Amino acid sequence: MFFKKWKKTEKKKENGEYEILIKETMPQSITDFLMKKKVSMDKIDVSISSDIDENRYFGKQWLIVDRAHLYILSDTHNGYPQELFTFNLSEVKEVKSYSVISGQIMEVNVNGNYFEVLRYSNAVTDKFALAIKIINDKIRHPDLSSEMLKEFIKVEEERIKESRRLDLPLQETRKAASRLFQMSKPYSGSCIVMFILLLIGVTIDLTPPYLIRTLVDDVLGPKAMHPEWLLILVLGLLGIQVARIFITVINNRINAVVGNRFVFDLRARLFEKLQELSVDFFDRKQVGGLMSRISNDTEVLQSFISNISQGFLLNIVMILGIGAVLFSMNWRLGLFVIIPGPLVMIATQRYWKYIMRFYNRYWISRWRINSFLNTSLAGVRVVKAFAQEQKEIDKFEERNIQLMGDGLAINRSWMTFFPIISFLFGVGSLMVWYIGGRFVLSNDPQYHISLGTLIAFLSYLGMFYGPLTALTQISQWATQLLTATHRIFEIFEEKEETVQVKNVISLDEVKGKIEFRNVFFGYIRYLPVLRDISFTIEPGEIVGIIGPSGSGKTTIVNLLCRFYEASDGQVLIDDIDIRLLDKIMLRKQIGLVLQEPYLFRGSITENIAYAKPDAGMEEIIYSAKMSNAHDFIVRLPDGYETRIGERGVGLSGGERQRISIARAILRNPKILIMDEATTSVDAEAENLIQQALNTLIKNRTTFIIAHRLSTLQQTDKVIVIRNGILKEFGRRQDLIKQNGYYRKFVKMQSSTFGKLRSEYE
Amino acid sequence: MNKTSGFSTIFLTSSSVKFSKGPGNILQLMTADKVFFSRVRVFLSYPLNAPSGLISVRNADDEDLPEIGLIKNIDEFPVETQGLIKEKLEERYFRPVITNVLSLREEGDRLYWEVETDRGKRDFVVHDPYEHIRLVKDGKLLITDIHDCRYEIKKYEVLSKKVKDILSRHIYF
Repeated sequence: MFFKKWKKTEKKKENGEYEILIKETMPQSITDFLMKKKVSMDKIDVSISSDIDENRYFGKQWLIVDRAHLYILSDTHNGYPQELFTFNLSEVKEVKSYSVISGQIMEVNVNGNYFEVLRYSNAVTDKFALAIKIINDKIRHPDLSSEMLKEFIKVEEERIKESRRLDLPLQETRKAASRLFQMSKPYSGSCIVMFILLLIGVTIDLTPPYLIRTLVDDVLGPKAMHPEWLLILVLGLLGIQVARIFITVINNRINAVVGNRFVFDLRARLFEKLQELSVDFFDRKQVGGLMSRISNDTEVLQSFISNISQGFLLNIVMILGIGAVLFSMNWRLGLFVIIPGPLVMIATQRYWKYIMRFYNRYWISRWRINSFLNTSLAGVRVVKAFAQEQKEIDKFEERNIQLMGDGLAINRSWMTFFPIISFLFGVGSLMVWYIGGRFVLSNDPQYHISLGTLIAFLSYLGMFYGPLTALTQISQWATQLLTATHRIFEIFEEKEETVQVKNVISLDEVKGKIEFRNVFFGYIRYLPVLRDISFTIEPGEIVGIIGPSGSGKTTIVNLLCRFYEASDGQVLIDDIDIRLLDKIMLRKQIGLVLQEPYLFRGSITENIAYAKPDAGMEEIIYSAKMSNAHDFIVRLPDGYETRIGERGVGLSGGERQRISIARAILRNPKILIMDEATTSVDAEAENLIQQALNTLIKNRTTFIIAHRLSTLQQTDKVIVIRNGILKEFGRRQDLIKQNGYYRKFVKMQSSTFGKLRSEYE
Repeated sequence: MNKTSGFSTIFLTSSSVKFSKGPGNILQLMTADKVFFSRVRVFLSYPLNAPSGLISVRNADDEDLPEIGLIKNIDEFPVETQGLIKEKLEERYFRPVITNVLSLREEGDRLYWEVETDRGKRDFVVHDPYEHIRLVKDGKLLITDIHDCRYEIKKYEVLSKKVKDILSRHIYF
């Protein structure tokens, strides 16, 4: 495959850069300064510069760390750096950073006192994050060997490189174009055929005026020599038209096949690729944007193929062909035909530039009105409840007026432009009439042309200006094509899901022991969401995870399902690092019940049996019974064969939740992960779900992200997460004795429900 | 369970609190009843339209950053305090003002900028300009680059025709 090939060459380019990320070359003034301080250059572990200086201007500040010290130096001022801060590493407890707008501020904790020492923008956060990590490692493990440090840095920098891809400029035009040609390679045979047919077609197009010339001069004219040719010539013209239609039809048919195949291939490969991509990709991108990419951009690419037989290529060949014929017939007249050409082209080009702005405005206002409609209609209940109908109407009107204005501007402008252009063409042909007419009348054999030649000229002229104006849009079309190509290939370039190691371990029977060992993780590498999480859960235990929203509860689940990989530390199942486990097998052992149950378009049966399509009817009913879903399902008119719409239309939140639990039960996983639904479920439904869960969690290691005390009461252990740190972990009876978050959680919930006493006993 | 000031709004005035600067360039706070906060941070409630009003003062010694109180009007504090807080706000809301666009190039749905700002020269990239360039009001533009760094243009009108032409193709004004 061609794109595998360039992937490889890109890797090579990056290889050399690994080492230098946190060891930048320092300017002479800085090294001089360090020499004076008796810092030996080979003992420097970190030397990096920020992109903002101490006075908050774009500039530099240096962070330099050797074996024993941490220096913050200003960049060269009058040849000398300033020593802003110096710390003894032995006194530094921790180095941290916190986010501010556009960047981060680095803090040093010296025996409990904080120093804000340096600021840098998000553009360089990754290298600083790595530096901070290394400094902290050095502080925590003073005996860390430089070998290990080096190895660690290398691994980390490789990861950073991967995430830096965002910075890379768009693929240059040539690259995109060559990919496009590569993509169409399998169709090169058909493309050549189409091109040859195109040439033949154009040749045929060029003949009628020639025949007309003969018709006028030799058959109909006053000095006609061959009046008997009339029928033959007319029949010839007819034959040409038939041939032309024939060729057009064949060419368009081939084109349709190739174009659709091409787009079919592309769509298929895109979807396949999307399925292989990690959850991370979908978290980063808007799904709406992706859908438009798959549908719109592929269609733009289809136009690339259709241009081989029609459109721009045809226009170019046409212009060349007609130009050649015109000049060969009479070069003087030919020149006159050409003269308005550049004028028209320049005018159209200019005009396009001008009108494009209006088009953009128009597209944006159409987009605005559509998105307004979307939110306003979707939120109709809120609108009505707050009696804001009139305001919505006004807002809509404002956008509607805008859209109308922009539409008018475009139309008005086109309506002026078109007549002007046809006027220009008119002038062009009038010029040919006049000058050509004089040539016809002229007796000078050097200038004289026949009437037939003039008529032929005029009919070529009609075929000439059209393609010429169309060509002015070629640059715009090309940009569009290249953008679409780029956007599509951007997806092909995306890294696939977490890399599978070569020798995966396939566990037939998972017991369900789970361990997190010093796990660190951040969705954006420089913003850790989980820090140093460690806990062990024995097979069959039920564990509740509590903590404020945004504290990292869902992230733990994401790591356990291996949607993401820990940036440091290990996640183990049955004492095996999950990175060594076969991913498919791992997920087969895990049942996931999400807070917002997702149901696919299809029947209830299809939804329950999603992960086990060969499940029998009785089996499905059994799992629906277990999840308390059977009763409401059989009462539906179509029972288990009821079709559900995209968002489970027609079902209540609790019913959808129970279907998703049935789905998990049917799968019979060893590890069950539940995100407890807090919303959209009434008390009775909650009770039914609760019962369903009770059957589900038997004999399984179960994680419940809990929001309610009632849920927690079934758990064996509780994990408390706050700000990405494991604050409390243990049996409920033990945790309640500590004066921590769990106790507060219980207290707060009990005071509402009056269950305080039962929990204390 | 949470340590914020709860549901009531506490306003800080020059008589109720005293700000000071700690050794490590840290903002500190002492209340009238002698409660000392060794590390506080300041946030703007309306960073775009009220750059010196309704300042939220929060306790950075607690990882939840609970609010100590709001400053309604910074002008009633001593000049020194004003300077201190303004410096901290400037640090947090680092948003250079673009004074001159040296070059602006478009490629696909990205814009490549080369600009002079009140904080020096800078190059940056903006992707999907429609989402990342926002007209605040009175012709003021807020630009967010690919790294989530922000820039500001005070007046759209004073930009060169070329720049306006390019921008008008991507954003609606």
